[in-house]
Amino acid sequence: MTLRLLSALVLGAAALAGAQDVAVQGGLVLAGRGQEPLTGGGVVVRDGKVVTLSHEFPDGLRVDRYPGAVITPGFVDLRTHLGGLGDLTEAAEAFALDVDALDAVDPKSREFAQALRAGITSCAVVPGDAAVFAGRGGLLKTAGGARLEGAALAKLSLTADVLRDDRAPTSAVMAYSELRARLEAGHQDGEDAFAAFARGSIPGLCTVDDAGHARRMLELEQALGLRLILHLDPRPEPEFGRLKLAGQPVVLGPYDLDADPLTLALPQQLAAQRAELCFTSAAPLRDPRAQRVSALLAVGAGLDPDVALDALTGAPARALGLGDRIGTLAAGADGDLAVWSAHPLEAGARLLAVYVDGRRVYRRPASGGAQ
Amino acid sequence: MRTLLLSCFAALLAPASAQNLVITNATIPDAPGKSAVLVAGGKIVQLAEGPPRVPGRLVKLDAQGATLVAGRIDAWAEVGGNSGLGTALDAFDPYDRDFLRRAYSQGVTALCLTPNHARDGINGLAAVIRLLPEAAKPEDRVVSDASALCAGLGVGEGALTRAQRWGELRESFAEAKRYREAWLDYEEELAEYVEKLPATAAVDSGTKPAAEAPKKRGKPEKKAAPAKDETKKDEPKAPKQPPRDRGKDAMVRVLAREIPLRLHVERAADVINALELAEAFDLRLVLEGGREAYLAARELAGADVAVVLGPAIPATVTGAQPDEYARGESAPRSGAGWQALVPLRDAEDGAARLDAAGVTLAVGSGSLDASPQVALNAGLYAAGGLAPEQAEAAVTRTAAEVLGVGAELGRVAQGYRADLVLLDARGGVVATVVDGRLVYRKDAP
Repeated sequence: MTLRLLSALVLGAAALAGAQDVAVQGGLVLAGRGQEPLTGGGVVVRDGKVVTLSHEFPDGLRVDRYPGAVITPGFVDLRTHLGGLGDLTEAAEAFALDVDALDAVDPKSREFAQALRAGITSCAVVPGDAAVFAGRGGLLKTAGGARLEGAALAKLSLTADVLRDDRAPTSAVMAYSELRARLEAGHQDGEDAFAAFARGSIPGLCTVDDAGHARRMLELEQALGLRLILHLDPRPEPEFGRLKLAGQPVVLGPYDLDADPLTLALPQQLAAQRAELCFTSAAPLRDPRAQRVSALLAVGAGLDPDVALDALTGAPARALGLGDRIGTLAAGADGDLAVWSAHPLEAGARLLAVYVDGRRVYRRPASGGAQ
Repeated sequence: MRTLLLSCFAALLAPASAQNLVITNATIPDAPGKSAVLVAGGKIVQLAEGPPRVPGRLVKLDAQGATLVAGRIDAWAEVGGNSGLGTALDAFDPYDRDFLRRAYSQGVTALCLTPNHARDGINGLAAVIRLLPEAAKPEDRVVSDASALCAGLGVGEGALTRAQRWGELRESFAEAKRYREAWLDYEEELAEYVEKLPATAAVDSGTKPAAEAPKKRGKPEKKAAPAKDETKKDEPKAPKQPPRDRGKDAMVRVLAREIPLRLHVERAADVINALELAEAFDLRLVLEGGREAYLAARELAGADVAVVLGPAIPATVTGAQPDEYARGESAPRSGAGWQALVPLRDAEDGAARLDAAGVTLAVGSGSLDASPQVALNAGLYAAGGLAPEQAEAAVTRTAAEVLGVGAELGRVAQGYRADLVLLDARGGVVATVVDGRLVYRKDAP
């Protein structure tokens, strides 16, 4: 009994370790911004980390071959509530200074597996938009729900959703004034989420539903040295196109197929001024595939497919300060890969396999239609 | 990025009837080996292996190797409002330029307008229209003003239970059947009556000859002429005309198998019920929605019933109540929200399974607002496992066939409407042609 258990453990551990050393070969590797596309080669992963992109693989290394496939970094979604046990926002408090959304997340939730099947390998799980400062969230790997240590982001909102009748603020002016006052108060010693955001040690994802609030937040970012990630509410707002957002991380989406042309023109407009676009699915409120669909819609409205791919991978990782670890297949990055039947910004591209930390965690069933 | 060469040997503002176009250097999957298409009078008149030599005024479009396919058809463009009696055609504004521009930019050139299913039961007629530019002849717009009679079941408000809904739908068809029989009897009696009338009476009263009165759909033009001389007791008695009912008239067309019944159902159990209804009343049936239809794929294939699929990815995780969760603030996990609803058994490869079983598939967008993205939607079905060529056909050839307009739309072939799309290697729309006119061209970088 004990022996069997022991041997099973040993075998399991061996399989696990072995699986983290792998070469994944396809027709084209799109390794991320600043990396040359590699034709016909593959990604070499050892101990769960990318070692190199190459046409030749070391002897003895397992090689998973996907002829003609397109390999990209796994997608990164900055704004999800995946695995949440109920509502992740405490709306009764306009300033929930030290709420951690991950306290109420079930890392084994099936919702993570759904996200994985959409090509998302890392996701920020954050509170919602119903509080001015709703606390902090963290970053999880969708395979197994492991937390990326040190990765955290605050969640803010300056939208109509924060205004309630039964507590302050009931007005936009109060919401902004109090946020500003609290941020200016200085937080060098504080240990809560708010203090960490106020002194710039963690980024804050701030949802806005009009351009005016976006500008106020950008002013605060400048004045106080914050790290701001703007999330532009997906509802149509003509003024968003006039924002000056060069170099600014901006989260967009999720967009539906009936999105109006004004909304769909925005990604292209913002990309033209070199904003750092990131697409979100808002899963599980939307299907996690809505992240790729949002990017597809933007490409249909004129966005460059390479920029759109970066907006699903590298840009959200950089926004969190993790640009060399996830969202890229540069040497040293996590072995998080998505294998597609075609460029993922072709609508018909199928997800063939997903690797996280060099382990194959999803493989498309052989033939869906045949059964 | 490819740029198209458009050379113009005639003024672009040539009279509407004089618009002739030739597209050269195209890859044409519908016609392997051919590379050029000649268009005249809004129709494809010739497919050629090389540039055809055509005399006269001609607009030339060099495709530079791009793929030429038929214009995309949205087989399910649901419009707001329904009266239960009317046609969805009346709810569409053909002069909405913003909409046309969006549609053209994604290669969409035709729609099947359907009434919405906010109410269960019969919701009106579907129509197939082409998205014509303003310069074209308006009479070419409507391809079919009665593509199908639409009904919703279990997707809108109305009866409280599915059993009641089905009962009501069956009963309304049973009533329509009685109505049809009453009219057929009437027409028969009327014919006999007119025959018995003295020949002179018919001529004198100026009524139409008897042979013209009875119609399959039962629409005699006028009441039979009453006998002028009512004193004559041995005169044959004129039959009494049954009351007219517009709603039932449309159902009679379905009972006569002239047009199909198009039923919006999502659940597998409702798919089976729909097949039984069609068999009981000998109807032609088309299903709309069918998120769970893959579970009844064999039955559908056996009955030769086509499915018009809607959005590949539901608007919300639950596939229900999109408005309530549209903002995505927080998922209500308790209370009277979506927990009360039984989620649909959605399968990513559902379309592929239907196709593998031999079910005919068209893809629609499910709403007029989403119509311009119908090709993207079809692509998402391909991502879920449907063969890419089937996904493309589901918004062109097969869509046209399911909608009953397969002889006019959906193919790049001689005699078909010149509603065409040029695609680049990634499937992006390079140019759109409607009625032989270039209506969209992707800007050069």
